Amino acid sequence: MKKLWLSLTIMLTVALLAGAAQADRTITIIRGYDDPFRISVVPFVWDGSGSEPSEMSTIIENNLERTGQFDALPRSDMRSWPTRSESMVFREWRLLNQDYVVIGRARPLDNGRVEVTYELYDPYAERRMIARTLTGDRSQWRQLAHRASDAIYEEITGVRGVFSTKIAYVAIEDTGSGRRHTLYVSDADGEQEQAVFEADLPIMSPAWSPDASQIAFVTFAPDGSSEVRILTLGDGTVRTAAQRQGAINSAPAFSPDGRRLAYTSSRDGAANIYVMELSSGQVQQITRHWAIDTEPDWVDDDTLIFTSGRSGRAQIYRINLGSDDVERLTFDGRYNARARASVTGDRIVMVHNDGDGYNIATMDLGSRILQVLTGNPQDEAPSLAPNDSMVVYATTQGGTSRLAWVSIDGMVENVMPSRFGNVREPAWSPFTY
Amino acid sequence: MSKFKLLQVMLVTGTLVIAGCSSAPTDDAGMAEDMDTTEETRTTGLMPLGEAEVAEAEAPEEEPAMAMPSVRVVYFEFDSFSLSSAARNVLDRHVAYLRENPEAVIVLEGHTDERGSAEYNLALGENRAKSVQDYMNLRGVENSQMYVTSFGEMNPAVAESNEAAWARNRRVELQYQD
Repeated sequence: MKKLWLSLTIMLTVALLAGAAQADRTITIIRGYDDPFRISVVPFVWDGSGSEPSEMSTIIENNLERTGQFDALPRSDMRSWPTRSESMVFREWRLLNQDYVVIGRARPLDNGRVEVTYELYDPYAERRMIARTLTGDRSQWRQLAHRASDAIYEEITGVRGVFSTKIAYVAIEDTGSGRRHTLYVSDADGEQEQAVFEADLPIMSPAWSPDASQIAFVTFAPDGSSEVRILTLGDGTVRTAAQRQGAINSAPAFSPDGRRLAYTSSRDGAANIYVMELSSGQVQQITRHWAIDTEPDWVDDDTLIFTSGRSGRAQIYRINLGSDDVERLTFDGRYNARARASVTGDRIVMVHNDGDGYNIATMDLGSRILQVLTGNPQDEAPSLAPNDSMVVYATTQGGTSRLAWVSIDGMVENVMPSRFGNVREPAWSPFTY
Repeated sequence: MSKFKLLQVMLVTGTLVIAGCSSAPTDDAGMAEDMDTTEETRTTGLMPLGEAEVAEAEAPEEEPAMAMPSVRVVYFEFDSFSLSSAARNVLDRHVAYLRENPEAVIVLEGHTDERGSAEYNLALGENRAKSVQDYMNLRGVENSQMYVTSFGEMNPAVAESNEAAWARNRRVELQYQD
């Protein structure tokens, strides 16, 4: 955890790109659940200068609402704004049909630090469920709000929250004379994006290391060869992991134990899957097929899934390392590609086409039932949240691609407005603490 | 029929390799000259006579060097890397040029349309470039003259989302190096 704060602090010092203009940042909630939890997040009181910490309650409210599982009461409909347990009147909240109430307060400490206290109440049971105090840097008030959201969400739903996690994605901006490609890391809600790598040539396929300290990605050498590089977020260093002139090296994925990197290479002719031992650089070829094999991901430390064109069209396959047994997993639809496995290894998400556009789909690896989650004509690059509750993906509508979220049951969908021209290939980070 | 042609090409290639540069024009060189002539004729027929052309026509002493083919892109069907007959016609001119100019080096840059996953498309773009390489190599172009790269869907020729744009984006660009 200490490591993450360090890397965050250093990332904050990376210069924000000019032109990352503050457009309309409101996330549009397209649909949600029929019977969400009713929650009131009372404005936090802040006894210091500036207004940021008092916006913490808004961030918590937005976080919870974006899951589709919560319906937040507008502040103007609240009858009072308590900030301490003494001023909580449970009956008042019951009259407003509120299942849960969050109150809080923040105060400045020395050395630019702040202390935030938040409490979660159940007005029907007249019970305090959480009372916690967090401290952090003044510049981290947003992270503090995400941390509080994680705890509130977990207390109510029993599922660990992912509001403190990160999303890496690639933005493509027209500069007039060409295109600029930037790898960004943002909060899970798309806010506070930081440019972590920039190139004139395309950037593709960001993938997080399991400790969230590194991002592997693909970019291109001046001669046009694609290569795999690894960025360390803490110090901003980038090293080349796989590269060969005249061949593609791409589609990186860290193993769950963090010691190996699966990737695609055409170094021996056709695009096949390889695994590299990161400490030694030793490479092992995993698949040997003349058709395209690419987009590996790890189900567990001994099992990979990947896309192959060996049946004539792209489909998802599974291979156990150390054996040559390849099993085809997808049979529904004419095209299934870019699968990502859940942390638990019991389901995958993928791009699916049954003749009616490219959608995001999920498949339970036990039952093998495939469920289509989105209905837009061109959805790509799904990535699962580390708690398996939501999928972030890129959707192209009206010629612009942007980030969108859908819940794993397909019930909730959000879209983030475009901020930098085209936004592609989001990768959801692992848990960061 | 096609097997016979292939054999012919391979034989010619073999001859060239054995004979090296010292030999007189072979059948194949003759074929290349023929192609060059037809190309010239067609160009002249299509273009109005400008000053440059008149000047060229007035200086007939040296045999004109074969012009670098002007069409430097071939197109593909969706999710395919097979060469159409139109693509092969374009490539035949590059074959002739590259054999005539063994010092010429060309980059074969594969591209796809935006549909489907970016990584799959990166590999598909490479397969398209390799199709072009294999075709030209089989007809006598040295592999050392050709470099294969792919940008997949990342560098569209037309940054739009419609059938016409997609058709223009599924391509291999043939880029001569200086």
